Amino acid sequence: MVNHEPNLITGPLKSKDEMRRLESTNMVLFRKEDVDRVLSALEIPAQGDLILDTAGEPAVCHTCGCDIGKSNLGNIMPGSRLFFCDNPACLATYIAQTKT
Amino acid sequence: MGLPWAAIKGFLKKLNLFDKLNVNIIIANRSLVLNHSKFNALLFDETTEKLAKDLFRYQFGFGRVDIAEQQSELAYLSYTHEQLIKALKPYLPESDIGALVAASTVVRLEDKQDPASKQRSQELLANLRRAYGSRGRKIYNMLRSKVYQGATIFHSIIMPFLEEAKKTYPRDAWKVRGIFSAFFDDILRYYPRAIWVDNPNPKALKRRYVRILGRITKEQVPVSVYARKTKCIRAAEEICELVLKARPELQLTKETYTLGSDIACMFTIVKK
Repeated sequence: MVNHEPNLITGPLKSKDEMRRLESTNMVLFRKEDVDRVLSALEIPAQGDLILDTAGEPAVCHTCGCDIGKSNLGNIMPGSRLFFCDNPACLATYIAQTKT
Repeated sequence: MGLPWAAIKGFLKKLNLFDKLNVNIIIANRSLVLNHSKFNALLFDETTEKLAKDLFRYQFGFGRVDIAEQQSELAYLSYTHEQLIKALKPYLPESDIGALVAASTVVRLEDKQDPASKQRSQELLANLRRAYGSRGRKIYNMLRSKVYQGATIFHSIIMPFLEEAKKTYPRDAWKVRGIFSAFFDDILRYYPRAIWVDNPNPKALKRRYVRILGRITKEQVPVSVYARKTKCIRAAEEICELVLKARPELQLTKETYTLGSDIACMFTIVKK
């Protein structure tokens, strides 16, 4: 039997149930020059340019695995444990893979 | 001094925006919504910084403002491609779905806009052509097409048709499959009616010129001419101008857009 779920591609959201499913958590955006302030506000340690994770190891991009420094930090996800580098495709890939 | 809860609640309320193009994911039991047109976002400043420690650390993600829009765009593309594949899977043969998956990967690599990904996308595109032939190439072209306000043929023609067929025969998936596969075959057979200027050397250009005139003589107007990269776009423009000189009853419209890191152009020759 084919699944006839409503899809989000061709039309606007219709039912209230669909609306409820899209509760949002939000992104706080920061400028590249504000990285230090973001890190200190979130109490994330750094060593030189390198950002360290909770275990004290260099933080790596969740998608591509490259080391995350202050210069290439793209995103910190809620909980401050998941990092992404500044390649826009990395966060996008993660989102596409983990979408509901 | 306590946290200004009224202000926090105020902006949280404001940020709960809904949009038909939202991308929704769950991270650690919380849902993240990226808006296609813009991030639902609060810009990080000193006030935010004061709140960040107590509130934002577990409730918010942080992202760089200069790449946010591109991330949102790419996430939307990847998401819609996955949705497309999922939606079409029950109704298309495996080979077409394979070509669609490969084509969506090519598109994603092209959109990363870095030289290594570009190289990989070109290799993958060559493999796609080898594995799935012209049918596979057409599926890629359709996924790359721009029909109306950035929507592809899949979004603007194929998906609505499938939705309509499903609505008409809600209990008969086989009937939907029959109708839809015939429709998809037709789309592939007649798409693209466009002419692609992909080689700027004079011999190839002359062939394209003859093909365009041939289409016009057979009354297959409008004729769309696509070109990618500056050299080919210039060549395509010259050909179109030559055609207009030969057939003054026609006129030309031009639409420029980007494909990955390349500039692309669609010329359409129409009757005045």
